[in-house]
Formats: sequence, C-alpha cells, structure tokens
Amino acid sequence: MLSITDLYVRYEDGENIVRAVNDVSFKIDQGENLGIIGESGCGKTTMAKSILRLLPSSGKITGGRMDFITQTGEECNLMKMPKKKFNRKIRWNEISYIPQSAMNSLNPVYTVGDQITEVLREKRESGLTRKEMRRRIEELFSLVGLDPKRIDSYPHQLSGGMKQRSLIAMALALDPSLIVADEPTTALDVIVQFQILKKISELGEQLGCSMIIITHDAASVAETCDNVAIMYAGMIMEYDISENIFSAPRHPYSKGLINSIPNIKLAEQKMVSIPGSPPSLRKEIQGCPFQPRCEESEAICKEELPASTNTGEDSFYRCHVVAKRSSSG
Amino acid sequence: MRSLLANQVQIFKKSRRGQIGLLLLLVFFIMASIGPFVAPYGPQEKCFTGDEALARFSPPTAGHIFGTTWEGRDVHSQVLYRARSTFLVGIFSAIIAVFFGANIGLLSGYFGGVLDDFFMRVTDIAYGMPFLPFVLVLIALTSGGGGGGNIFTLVIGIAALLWRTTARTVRAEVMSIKQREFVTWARSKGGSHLRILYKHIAPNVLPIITLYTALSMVWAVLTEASVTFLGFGNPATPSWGFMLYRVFISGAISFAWWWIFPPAICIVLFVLSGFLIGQAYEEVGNPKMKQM
Amino acid sequence: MPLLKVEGITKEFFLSSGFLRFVFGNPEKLRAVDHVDFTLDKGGSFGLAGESGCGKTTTGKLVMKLHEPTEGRIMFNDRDITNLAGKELKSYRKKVQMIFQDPYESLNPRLSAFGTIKEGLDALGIAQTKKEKRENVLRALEQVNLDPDDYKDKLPFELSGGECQRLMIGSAIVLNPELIVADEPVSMLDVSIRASILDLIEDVLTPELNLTRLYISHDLSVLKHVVDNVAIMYLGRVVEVGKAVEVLSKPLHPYTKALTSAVPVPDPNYQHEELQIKGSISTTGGERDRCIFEPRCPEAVEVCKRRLPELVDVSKSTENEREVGHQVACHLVGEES
Repeated sequence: MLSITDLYVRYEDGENIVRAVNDVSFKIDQGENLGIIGESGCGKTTMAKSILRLLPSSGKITGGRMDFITQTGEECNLMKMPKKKFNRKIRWNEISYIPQSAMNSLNPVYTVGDQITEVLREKRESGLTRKEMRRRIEELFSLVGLDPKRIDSYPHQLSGGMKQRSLIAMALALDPSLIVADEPTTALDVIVQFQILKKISELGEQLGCSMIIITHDAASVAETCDNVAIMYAGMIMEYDISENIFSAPRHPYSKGLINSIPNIKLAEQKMVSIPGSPPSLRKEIQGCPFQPRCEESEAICKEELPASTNTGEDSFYRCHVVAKRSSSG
Repeated sequence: MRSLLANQVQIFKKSRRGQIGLLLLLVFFIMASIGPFVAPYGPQEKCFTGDEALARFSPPTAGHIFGTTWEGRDVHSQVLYRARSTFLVGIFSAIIAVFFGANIGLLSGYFGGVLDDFFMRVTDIAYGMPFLPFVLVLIALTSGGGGGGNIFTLVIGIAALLWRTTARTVRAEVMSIKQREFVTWARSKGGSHLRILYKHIAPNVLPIITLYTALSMVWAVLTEASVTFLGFGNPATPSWGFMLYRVFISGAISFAWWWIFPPAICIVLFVLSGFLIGQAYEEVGNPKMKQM
Repeated sequence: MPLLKVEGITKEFFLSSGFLRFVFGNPEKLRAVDHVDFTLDKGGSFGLAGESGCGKTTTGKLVMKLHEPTEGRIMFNDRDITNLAGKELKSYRKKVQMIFQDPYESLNPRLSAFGTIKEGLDALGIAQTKKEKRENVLRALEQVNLDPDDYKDKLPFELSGGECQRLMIGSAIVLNPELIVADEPVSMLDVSIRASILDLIEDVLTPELNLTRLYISHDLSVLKHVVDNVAIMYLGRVVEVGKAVEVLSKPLHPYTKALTSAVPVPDPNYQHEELQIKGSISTTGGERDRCIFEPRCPEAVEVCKRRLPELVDVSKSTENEREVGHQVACHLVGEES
C-alpha cells in the first residue's frame, strides 16, 4: 500500500546541513502495523513528516520515491503529486498524522468537537449537514472509547488520555487507510498507555486501517505491531517481523537496543547499555554510522556503508560483519 | 564574569545592526571625551569675520563648517563641547534607572508576597505619572527660580520614572525563571536566597537588563532634549537640546538650518545607537533566552 | 539500621491563590502526600513508584526539605529533621542530595561543568582551600566518567543527555552525601544508555561512597531490577510496600495488579491480562473515610466505601534485615491473613 524507496531527507539552514534520513526503504501493506523504533536524533520523526509533506521550510527531500495505492486502487507518486491534489486527496482522507506531543496540538480555544468538524468540513466533497457531521463524530468517539458528551469539551477539560483519544478520533474521521502516529503514548501514564495501545490494535483490526507507530519505547511496539524497523542515524538498520526483532535481533545495534529494555516479567535481569552516543548528522559519515559504538566492528565498517542483506521477502539488515558471518555458514 | 563578557562579544559579533550601534556610541563617547580639546573654537567664543564684524548667522563656510549662531559662535565647536552633557545624562540616567529597576524586579519577582505587592504598587504609581511633565515639575521646583535645574536633578528626575519598565519586565522574567528546575537544583545545593537570586537567576535575566539599558538611554536622551528645548535646561551645562532651545528663542528656527541640523542629527544618531544596540540584544538575546 | 524514617508525612497544597480568596472563600486543598510511612536502611535502595500525581515526587522533595510537611515527621540517622533551618539545614543538605529528571533543565545553563560541580561546595560553605575544592571537583568529574581535561569547561548545551546527567550526579557526590534521592534519573535518556547511568550509581558510586538510594520512578520495569524495596503510591498514599521483586511479580493490591499488568513487555507473544480497572483519576485525594482507590477498583466491596484501609503486614517471612515486610493497604488482602 505504501512503499518508500531510497528516501533521503536533509535540513538545510544556510551552511548547516543535517542529514536526517539516509537511504530509507520499507513497505507497509493494508491491515499491517509497522513500528519504527529509534532513539533521539535517529530521523524517525523527519521521515514521518516527509510522508505527509509536513517538513519545515528547511527540510528537503533529496532523493527516493514514495508510492501509495489509495482505497480506490489509484496508484500515486506521493512526492510528485501537486500540492492541491495532495491536500485534498491524501491528507486526512488516505493518510492521517498524529504528531508528537499531540496533546499540545489541540487548539485550546475550540472544543474538540469543533476541531474534528473542521477536518470533516474541509475535506468531504459531498457536503454533510451539521447533524450528519455530529453523528459521525459521536460514532468516532465511541469507536475510540470516549463519552460522546465530551464532544463539547475544551482541551483543558480533558485528561491526557482523553486528548490522545480525541486525536485518534480526528485521525480516523475520514476513514484513512493509513495513520502515522508519532510517539502516541509517550506522555501518558502506564495504565492509560495500555488502554490506548489496546484500542489502537483493536481499531486497526476493526477498520482495516494500517498504522505506522513511531516511538523510542520499543516495548510498546512489541504488542501492537506486526513489523518493526529499527532506525539509527537516519538509516534502517534492521527490518523484520516483530517476533524476530525481539527474540533474535541480528544487527549489533538492534541487539544492544533490545537487550537494554527492562522486562518486568523477568525474575532477574542485568541491565546493559550501549556505550557512547549517536553520531552528529551534521557531518558526512564515513562507513557505518554505528561503528564507533559497535563491539563487533571490523576494518571494513569504518570505510564502507553496509548494504542491505535480505533475510526474507521484505526483511533485511545492514551490517558487514553479520552478513559475512552468516554467508560463511 | 569572564563568560558574561565573552557572551557580549558573541552577541555583537552576530549582529550587523548592533555593530553599527556600538560604533556610533563609540564615536559619541570619543566626542564627549575629547571634543573640547579638538574643537576649533570655544563654545562661547564670539567669532569675527575678516572685517571685524560679528559673524552672526553665518551659513557653513570653510572656517565654520556648521556655520555660526546669532551671537557669532561656532556651531561645530558647540556640538563638540556639548556632547558631554547629553552623553552623561543619557548614560547615567540609564544606568541608575536600570540598576534600581532591575534590583526591584529581581527582589519582587523572587520573593513575591508582601514585598512584591508593595513594589508593584509603587511601580503602578510611577506608571501613573506622566513622564515629561514630572521631570519638568521636578526641575522647576529645584531650580530655585531661574536658570533651570542642574544636571544632577535632571538625571535623578529621569531615572526616577525610567526604572518602572525595567522593574516590571525583569520581575516577569524572574517569576518565570524561578519555576525552572535549575533553581530547585541550586536550592538543593544549599544556596541561600540571595545567592540563588544573584548568582543563578540574575545572569539569566541579563539579556533583558542590557536591552533595557540601551532603551533607557534612548528615553533619557530624548527627555533631556525635550526638557532643555522647553527652556528648563541649565546654561552652565548646555547640551544639544540646549542648542536647539537657543535656536528657537533667537527666532532663527525658520531659517538657520545650519544651526538646527547638527545638534538635531546628533540627538537622532545617539538615540539610534541605543536602538540598534537594543536590537542586537533582541536579535541574539532572544534565541539565547529560549536556548536557556 | 535505618538511615531514613518517614512517619505519617502529609503535604497539602492550596489550589487557589490570592489574598481575598483566602480570607473569604474556602481555599481548595490538594493533599499530594497523605500519611506516608516508609523506612530506608543504610546502604539499601528504595523505590517510590506510581503514576503522575501520586505524590512520589513531592515525597522526594519533602525528604530533600525542598518542601515543608503539613504533618508528620522525618527522622534521619535517628535525628528529627522535620523542622530544620539555618546552619542545621545546610548541614543536612550536605548529607542528602538529589538527582533530577531533566538533565538540561536542571542545570544552570551558564555554569560550566566545573562551576556546576563546585556550586555545592561554595553554597554550603564547605571549609576548604581553593586548591582543595579544585581537586575535589576534578575528582568528582573522574568519578562520573567525565574526563576532567575534556569536560571541565563545557556548558550543559554542549553535552549529550547522558553526559549531562552524569554531571548532575557529579555535582551531588562531590559533597560526599549519605543519601541520594534520584527523581526519574533516566526517564529522559535514551533507553540504550539508561543502564550505564544506573550502573554508575549502583555499581560504582554506591560501594565507593557507601550511598543509600531513594529512587522515584514511574517505570516499574526498571525499579524491579534496581531497587531492594518498593512502595507503590496512589493519590498520595502508599498502597503496597515490600521487596521489589515480590511486589512487582506477585502484587496483592488491586492497583498494583493493574499497574504491573499494564506495563508493556518487549515480547510480541506475551498476552496481557485483561485490565479491569475503571475510569481515571478524578479526585484530589485526602478522603479518610474510605479507600481512595475504591471508585476504580474492580474488586471493591461494601467495606471499601466505609473505611480507610491501613497498611497491614502480610509477609510470610523476612529473609534478611534489608527487606521490608510485604505490607498492603487493602481490606480484601488484610482480611485474608
């Protein structure tokens, strides 16, 4: 349904160049959930925003393509589509976006009902009457588990969890086939987080809508996503089904990351960490960006960027050493 | 201290406007310091034309590049001599106003409670006073009938109302900084109230304080010019504004352009330098404040 | 041997401000901490856990004497430190230091690493020569793995999150404290470096300086593997307390049960239990005539609406001195034993 190929995105501010996304490729099919895990500065938010053309003026897509198949079967090239058509056809209709710190993006002077109405009104070509829109919003509210009486509440009257649910309702308003959610549960307490994640999974199944969940909280993704991509320094280091990523990660960074996640279900766990910190994306990086922190690195890692090694139909990883090891048997 | 100075250098490096403002200020500083020594004539010196007649109302000539006054005095020299008064009033009023305003703002914003209520009511009263009339009245009262107030009174009078804006703004900034976690950190390290206020909070309010110093200078100079133009200036310490006053009362204001423009333009440029320096702090100071 | 004993500590905040409202209106009170008791043994580690608004951070600040308690008593080294001022307070501060959550926000952005660490030494008037102070600062930098030559002049914005947090730790240990209160010390750091900070505190600094640790965190997964004992807090009250491994693997209080089953598990095949808990936090706490958790409790019965449950010891045995007996504040659990 959505296919990203060789995407490169940079931020250019005069002399400063930040290479936020480098050579990213992945696919997501209908009804699938994809989790993109990465730590601060890995480029995941930039990538999400570029799908929906929400980059700031300093952000530029410098390479790759994004192909999308709409619900009516139309094939689109997301990057080449003219702005008006993109806004009318794709935004909210086909692909919705829930931004990071979404709870702060609700306009404090309008009720949540009004804000969802705005989305409905601008997009629907067949003008819905006020009553019909209201009914649609009530429908959406019960879908996400909100009391329909809250439609006329202002954002400050709602709790964090309720605000997040109303944003999910907004994202679902026009029946998109894909929702991109950036850190949807990060600021929420653990019980609310659990309820929201559960709701997201249910909705996905119920409505047949796919989700891309971007987060640094890997554990939350384990339960909701079918496929997982691990990003580092603007690249996808490993991409595989959820089970494989969590039980048998291949890439040294994936291994380090997964091992550093504390698991409450284990009786005992020695917590580990990866020494060092992510590289600055302002400079051109020679070789593998993870090399300075990698225990398994060899000489070639400093010189050459590792290519993707396929491990299945869609799954892959990018590592010289692991590739060498597995090919030699 | 060293890092604060380094900070200022950084700020001006980045701002073209600030550099121009600073340059202008420097020019006037030089003018104020050595003006009297390089002026071709004395400020009261009556000049004569070749044939021993008083060189009254003479437009610019080779000998008098800015022309002469109605009493035959050289305008150029006067401008140079009188830079000093303007400069002193501008700088000192600003410094005194900001010193009091900033400290009141700091104490008020940090301690809150009754102290804050008290200071804010005082500030309200200060805001209630119209600026210029207040200064005029103060001068009139202290001048002992005739001759205008002395420069000291002028500086105090201006500072007495100028501090109010700094106080309000600094207080608001302090109240917001007070909530920041590094203030709690400083408390946990055993910092006394005064230490936290002056070592931790004040340096982070510095960009605003310097901005207001520049702006206060602007206001002080404009007020001084107005006061002296209206005739309340002291002839013993004449300034550029005083020169404009003289043009006016000699009835020459409608034609002696060479006498009007030099002091007027100097006032404008001085004020401009204050604004430009303020701009530098706003331009660079603001993102820096956000970076904090 | 107890280092810190918190007894019936309560903290109330007034919600409305303004002089007139205070005099004429009925000022609304928020009871952030409600009769909390716990004990922390010397050399041990204790966790205060709960969701936002449960009072754990306020409790930490009460221990730090950054807030004054409305009621109750705090004992430190068998001395009553509930009301301290002046010199005695400064003396206390040397012994009890805090690590804050957001390393960038919690350090003065204008102070270099050297200045940051030196701050405590100066502010607390520690009697040392300039040379001695300098040596102590440089040593503290080394202890937290920040090479003094590289780092001493750096400003917070030039450091990574992990480095900043280590600097913060350095500013605390330079004073040679006995107790460290760590308020969400790693929640703002990348997952892959959290262990390095926790290891620094637990495996390096604790033995070196004989530290006792009080952790405040909402992350139960981390607490389980780091602290000896844990107290679960809800709306200002402690609802369950005991050995961390036991409380978090075999929780007894309905709230703890809900919390532990809601924690995300990094295993795609894990099946979560159904969460029975209802609604969300709505009261401002402070009720003393019923169980504060009752409105949301899936197991509530009649008595829960009528009487406040107190902490009751339900442990079968305590293996060694450092383990607190397992206590639960729930009518259903108390009744059973």
